[in-house]
Amino acid sequence: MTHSFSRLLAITIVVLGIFLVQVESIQSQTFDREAMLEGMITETILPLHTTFAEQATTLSTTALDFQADPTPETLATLQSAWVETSIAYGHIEVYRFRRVMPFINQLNSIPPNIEFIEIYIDDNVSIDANLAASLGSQLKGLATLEYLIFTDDAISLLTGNEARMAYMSAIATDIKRVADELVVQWTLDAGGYGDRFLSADGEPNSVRSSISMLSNEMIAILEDVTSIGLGVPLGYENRGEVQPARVYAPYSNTTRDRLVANIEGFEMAFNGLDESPSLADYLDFLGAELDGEAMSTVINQNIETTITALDAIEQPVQIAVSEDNETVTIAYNNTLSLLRLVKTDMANQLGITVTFSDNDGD
Amino acid sequence: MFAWFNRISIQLNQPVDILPLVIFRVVFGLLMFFSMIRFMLKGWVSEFYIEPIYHFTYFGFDWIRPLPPTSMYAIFSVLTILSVMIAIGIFYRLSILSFFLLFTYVELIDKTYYLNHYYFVSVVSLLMITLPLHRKYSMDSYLFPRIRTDYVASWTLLSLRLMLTIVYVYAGIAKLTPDWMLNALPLRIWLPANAEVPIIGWLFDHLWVAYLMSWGGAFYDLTIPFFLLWRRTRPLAYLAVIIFHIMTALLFNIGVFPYVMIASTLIFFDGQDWRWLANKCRINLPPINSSPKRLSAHPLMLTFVALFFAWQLLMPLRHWLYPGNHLWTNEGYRFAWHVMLVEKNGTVSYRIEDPNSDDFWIVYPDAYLTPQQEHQMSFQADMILQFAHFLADKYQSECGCNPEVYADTYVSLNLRMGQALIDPTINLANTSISSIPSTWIVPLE
Repeated sequence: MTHSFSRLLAITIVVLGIFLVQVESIQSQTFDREAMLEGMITETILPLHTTFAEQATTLSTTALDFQADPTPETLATLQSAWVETSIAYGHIEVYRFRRVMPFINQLNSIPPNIEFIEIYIDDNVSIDANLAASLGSQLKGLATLEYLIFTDDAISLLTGNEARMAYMSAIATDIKRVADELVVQWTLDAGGYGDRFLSADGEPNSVRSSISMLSNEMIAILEDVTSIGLGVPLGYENRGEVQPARVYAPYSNTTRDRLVANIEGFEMAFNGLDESPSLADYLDFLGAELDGEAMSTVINQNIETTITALDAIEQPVQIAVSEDNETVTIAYNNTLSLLRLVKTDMANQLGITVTFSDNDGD
Repeated sequence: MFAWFNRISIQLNQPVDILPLVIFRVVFGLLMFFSMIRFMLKGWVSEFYIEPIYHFTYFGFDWIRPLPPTSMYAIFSVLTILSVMIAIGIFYRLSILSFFLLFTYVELIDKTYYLNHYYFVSVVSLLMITLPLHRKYSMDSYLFPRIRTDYVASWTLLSLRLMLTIVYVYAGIAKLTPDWMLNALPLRIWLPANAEVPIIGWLFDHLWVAYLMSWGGAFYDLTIPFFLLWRRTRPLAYLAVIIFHIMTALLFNIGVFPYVMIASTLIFFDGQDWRWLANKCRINLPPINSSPKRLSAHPLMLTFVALFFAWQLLMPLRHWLYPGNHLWTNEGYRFAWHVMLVEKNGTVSYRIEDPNSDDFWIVYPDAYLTPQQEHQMSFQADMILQFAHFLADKYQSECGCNPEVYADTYVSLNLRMGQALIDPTINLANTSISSIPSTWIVPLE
């Protein structure tokens, strides 16, 4: 009896051992996640923020140029700089981590509080950099600047009102200030947020937590593009009646470009900009598949399809929701598909933690 | 039959040293004390019970609502004080009864925060109400010397051991699934995320480790209570308990659960063990004065305990009454010691339609829910239904109609490709919340 049991035990151990060896051959490499996270900062996040800061500098300069010499040409240059800055902002908006939100919040609060902005201007308050820095988020940032420089009669309104011009110029400079601060925050070993990101705000098992934090932000930007960027103008929270005024950029007609920039920002966060391993590489390392295809490939295909669907919106989005509703709806459905893929399938593969409270592993 | 019953009755009333029960009371109280302090310091009182505008109540307990903020903080403060009172054994019966009621009330507010170890604390504190854990080394025994005793009936010790055995064995049985045993899921998802852990982290990138830990985990759960019961294996088994739970504490975000189990399993050590340890540590425990005598409990008490264990033995098995994979449907999943079995994620939106017009709304739950609530409800069918009812009520006034509510769901379980969890053609506003098997859940492909 004992002899039989020993033999059975030995056979079981051998079988299990062979099974484990077979299993091991499926996945036997390692992946440097710390290098991935550090590479994300140095090769993707920081360069994107630097680009944004450079655009913001140009924006600030062109605003001062326009203030000094208000002509249709200098206004066009300023507007062009605004568009470039808005797109650069669209690329970094994915990195809205809790601790950099105080900065991000100052950049693009939508919609701007036009009533209050006009009161400020009418009150002829002498505005300087300090006052601009202290303004509430709905009174400054890109959306406010868009309102001031893109309205049809912007040039006459600005040249005819010194306070309006000073307000415009001050908030353009303030955007630069915040953009520069974000670069400092993301510069490693500068005591800013970049270092905290690598330690996941001090959470235990920081690498896992940092990957979770990044993934959560990537999901959040897709949620915003889907539900706020497209769903709201399509009227999905308004009985199905379109809401053209609720687009991201109603004065500059650049809503579509901003939405595309958000998806591009997501794509850069996913694939990285340089040689360091990216989240896509990590999924490949994990052997993540969907229907027999690499999950990273499927996600990239969906990103491409989504951008194509957004690019297909030829008219400004506020017009397209009424006149070309089907195209905007297709874009919405594409962003929703991408969101599902990332929030459900990718998250399932990564075992993302949504919040850092206790869980049962479920 | 009667003789057999009589023999068991005599066995259950055999006198045993009270010391293990006293130690259980003290470690339970202290652990709950630190747990409550931790809960408050983390800001969870506000985050879980004050900030949310909607709560996912349990079926049959819809009447339970959070109290105003000050009262919620007061409850946690009282729970903290009660924990200390339990540890030092003052007004023990009242303390543990109050602790059970308040703790269970808090847990019943919102199923978002359901954790097996919270359920464990609730049921153990309920059981503790019936046990004389305060009759030695307590303020009660100092204040009321007549209650002092060195011996208690063995059923009191056995009941706690049985509770622990139920937890482990049912957790082990729950692991005997193809996902856990044949595919090392979900550990193969979670372990690689820990590959940067010092010293042993590199192991977690290897799939065989996930398999080994899955099998080891199932074996551990199914056998550890028995190794703890057997005196010869008890010390090694307890060492395994410590290693196993410390490892889970390091690798997974499961809060105080590992420490609850490490502390609770001390109940498997008997008085002789503790006295041997005290002797080794040169601690002089007072000698046992009273002579062992046959002890008997009130029949009502024993009936209650018998019913309690009938409930504990049957409740975890109820998922067998439901069709389909309960890990997917969630039917019978809670209160069944299903620990660490699933990695589940989902995306949910609702389409609300006015049946009298073309008006519709698309609602994303995060407009009303906290991130944790939204995450948990996105893959749990009963919570998706509950929230549909909330939306139906909310939009009733908006459209002046009885709106139809449809859920658009996409859920993934343990690396399976996402699929619909809820039938998108079913009007959830007309679907009642009940415990009968759901027809509106799409089966797992």
